[in-house]
Amino acid sequence: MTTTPITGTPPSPAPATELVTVTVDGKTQQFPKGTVLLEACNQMGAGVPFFCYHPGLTSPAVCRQCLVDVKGQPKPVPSCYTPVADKMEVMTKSPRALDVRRQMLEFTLVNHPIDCPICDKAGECLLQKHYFDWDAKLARNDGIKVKKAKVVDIGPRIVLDQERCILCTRCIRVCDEVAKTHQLEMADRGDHEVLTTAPGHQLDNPYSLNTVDVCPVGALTSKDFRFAMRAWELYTTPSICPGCATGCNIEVHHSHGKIQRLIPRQNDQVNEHWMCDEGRLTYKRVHAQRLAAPMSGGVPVDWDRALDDAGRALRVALDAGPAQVGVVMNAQSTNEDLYALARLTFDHLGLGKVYLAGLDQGWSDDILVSADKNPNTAGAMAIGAGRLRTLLDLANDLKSGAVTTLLVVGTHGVIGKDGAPGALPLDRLTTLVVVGTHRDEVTAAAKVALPLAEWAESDGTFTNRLGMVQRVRAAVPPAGDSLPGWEILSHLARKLGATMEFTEAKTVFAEAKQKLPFMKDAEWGRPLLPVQLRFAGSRG
Amino acid sequence: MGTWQDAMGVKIVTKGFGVPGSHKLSVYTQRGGFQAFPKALTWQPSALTDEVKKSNLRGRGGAGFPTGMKWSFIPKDAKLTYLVVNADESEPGTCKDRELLAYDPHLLIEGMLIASYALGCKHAYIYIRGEMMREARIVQEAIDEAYAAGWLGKDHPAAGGGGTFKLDVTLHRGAGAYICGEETGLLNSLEGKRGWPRLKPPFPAIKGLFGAPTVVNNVETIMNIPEIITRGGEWFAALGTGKSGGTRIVCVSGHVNKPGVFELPMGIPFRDIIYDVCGGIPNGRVLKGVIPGGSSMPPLDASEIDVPCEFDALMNDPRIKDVEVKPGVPFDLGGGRRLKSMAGSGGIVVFDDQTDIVALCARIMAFYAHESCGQCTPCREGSGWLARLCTRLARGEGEAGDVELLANIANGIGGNTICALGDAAAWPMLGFLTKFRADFESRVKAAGTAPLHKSLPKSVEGAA
Repeated sequence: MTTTPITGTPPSPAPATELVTVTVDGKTQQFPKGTVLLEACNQMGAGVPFFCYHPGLTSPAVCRQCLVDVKGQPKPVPSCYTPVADKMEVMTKSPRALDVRRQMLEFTLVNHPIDCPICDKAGECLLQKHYFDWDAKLARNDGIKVKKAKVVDIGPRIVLDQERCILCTRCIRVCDEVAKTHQLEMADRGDHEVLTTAPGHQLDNPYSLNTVDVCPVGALTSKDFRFAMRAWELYTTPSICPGCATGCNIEVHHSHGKIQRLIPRQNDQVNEHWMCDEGRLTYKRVHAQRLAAPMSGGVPVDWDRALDDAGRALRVALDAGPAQVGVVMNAQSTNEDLYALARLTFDHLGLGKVYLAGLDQGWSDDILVSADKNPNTAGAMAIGAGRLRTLLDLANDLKSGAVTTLLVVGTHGVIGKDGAPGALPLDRLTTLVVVGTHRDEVTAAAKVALPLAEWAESDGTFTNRLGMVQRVRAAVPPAGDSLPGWEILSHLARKLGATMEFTEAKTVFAEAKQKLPFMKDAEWGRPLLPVQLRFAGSRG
Repeated sequence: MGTWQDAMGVKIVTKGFGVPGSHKLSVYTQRGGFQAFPKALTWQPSALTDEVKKSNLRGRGGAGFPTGMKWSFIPKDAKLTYLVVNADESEPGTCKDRELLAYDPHLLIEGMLIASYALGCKHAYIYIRGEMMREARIVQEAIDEAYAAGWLGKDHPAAGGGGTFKLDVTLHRGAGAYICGEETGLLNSLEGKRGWPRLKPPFPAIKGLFGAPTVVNNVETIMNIPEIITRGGEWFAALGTGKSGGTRIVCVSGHVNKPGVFELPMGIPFRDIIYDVCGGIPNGRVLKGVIPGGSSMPPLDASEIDVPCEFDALMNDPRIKDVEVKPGVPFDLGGGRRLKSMAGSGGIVVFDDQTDIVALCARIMAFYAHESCGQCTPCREGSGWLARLCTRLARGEGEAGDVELLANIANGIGGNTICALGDAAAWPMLGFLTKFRADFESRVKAAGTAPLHKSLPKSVEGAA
């Protein structure tokens, strides 16, 4: 699975559905009864074009672009609104079907500004694609086009270009059917019809950026992404959103080592075709305030020196009294990093005071967003297997002096957003060793701070709230000198006299899969190179 | 079976025309009103539907669909059904429902009572065009009178339907969109949504207003029901011609000496309507053509007016030429069926030899471009394109190939849209091109010499 194919795939049919036999362009195949004809045609490779149809939404059949000939039907039928029937014979490339579709495409283009050179959607635009695939002729309309508004600010995250809009109503249906709020509307009539916000509303629902994804043209653009990048210069890597415990499947779109945007990837068990706006912006933290180099005593040092210092500091503390050494795990870490840390902590060092940190609880809904803002709480709890304590326990242990040395791996939420830094009295520690992604209060207070790769920079797995172990892939190189957690921990283990010879994330995964029941069915998947976005990967 | 002349002078729905106070309940009862409804209550509802089937009553809104058959599509076990009267008359050239509502609203109410009883409907709606303010007031007063007199809102003992029958009627004013006269656009509008036509299937008889089985009938259609019950379906069928029962109301406008709304025999030819009923063409001019049933129907030229003004004749009569996409290539209605014309809503527009056909066509296209609901692409984009091209031709500024392009665009719209409004723009365009092609070709710039018409449609000025 690289990019979502242009047709998407339909929700897997209920088992034991009746099958019907359909003939498309001379080829015959069986489909579950009720399958949309358009899906059947395109699963058989007919490549029937469409604009308004979206596999995750209802079909209004308004664009008329998917008309095909069906034997026995007097006129071409909209295949997006026609269920397959037994012995149906479909001609997607009959002269009449080709001609009528070419004409529908021409109608769509009559008042379209064709400003592709300055359009953000160029390169991943369905209209552009269909034009090159099916028509590629000069316009017959030599008159003036209908003028509409070019830059309409319709919400905090989205800008609308009414001229580019082909009025397919996909965005209206995303709001109605996914976000369950009616914020977009059509106004006016005929070829002066425009998309607009419903009176008294703006497009500000928590799922509003899905409208940009489904927009087949460049009418809706994300304020965050517009003018940032030509789509065909982007590379895509499949991954998992780190924004909450839902674990929406995503594609990371990146270029030159920088993430440009996150977009949802279809998974009918988790997020179908969608993700929330908050999750989309989680990529920002990957490129902000990163800890780029190992630090020892407040100055940048090389890895060897930093690992020596960290190892020595921990060794001293362990020799003095292992009962006073605490370890903080993080629910933001991958299963692999957590497994490596658990092996070092429990198996090699035999420590008992292990705490779980993570971002604070937040808002939730019954659509996608979880209150738990960590992507791997389920994995951490399973790996901790009842041995994990809370940050409140840690605060008490620090105050009472029960813990004097602390190893923190992952600093997200160690010092809560609202809690004053004093709530966790790190200054009571004699030794603080931190493996962290960002320059924050925790890494600043550390004796030794080791730079940790973020989720988008490392391979691994997250376990979502449903217990599904999902694969995270490194999309961009780690910031500065940072390294994946399992690798840092392997080096640290060696310094502490333990043997933990992990050479790549996959070997950690393989071992964890054998040891941990919750991972026994997990799959690592094939290695993937980032795929450059071309028309072949057009999103639409 | 007699000739159409036998039915000349028979009045079914225009009996109230010209009667002082005819819209009052008291006058209506004096004229013999509210006798068919008590009679109908002694029948089983299904018998009423059978009687309407027997009468060959066909929908008067435009499509001419058999009313009895439409009623019979309502599922027998439906718990909740609706009757909606379509009074959103807005087809250019049509003005019959307005007069019917103004003169005889109680005939409509009685027809609705009978139809609702036949359909098992407890709440019926009248969707009236927003511009008809006077008629809306008259109809509302009539509804209030009918409530006060106990015809509406009270239980009536009935033979079927569980022993009693009670009907409530609500008048709803539209906001003046042509598309809301399309039955599913109307239902959406009535539900408070944007008046976009719905995809069919499901048809309203299965899933209509608020998701319940619904019959949508034209005002004139419903007004025929009481007479059918009083005098029997066979009498009504015999009055008409072929498979079309009853009389026909036509609204004649344009170049005739006596325009107006007339109730005429179903089989009367256009020649008799123009030269006898309407007193011929003024100023001694010659007939050029006729729009037979509202501006969305392909026109007839002067040689085709001996055809009866009846549903089937206008669709099939060999004397009417097939509408063509280009000379010699007939327009395909689907499955090889040919388009001639249709009786539509009875709006007859007569034009003489001084008429600028291209300007006329441009005005019609401007109307459909303005009224296209904008839901589906071919109609939304195509109707505006047609209007701009037509206007350009009407100005004598047409480019070479514009005539062929017009036909090609119209052919692309026809049959490929969600509702019939796409056809309503495409058919007359193709019809005018078929019958009056030379008029269009003379307006291409290269042709050079065509005189220009003074008044072009304002709504498309500057758009071309």
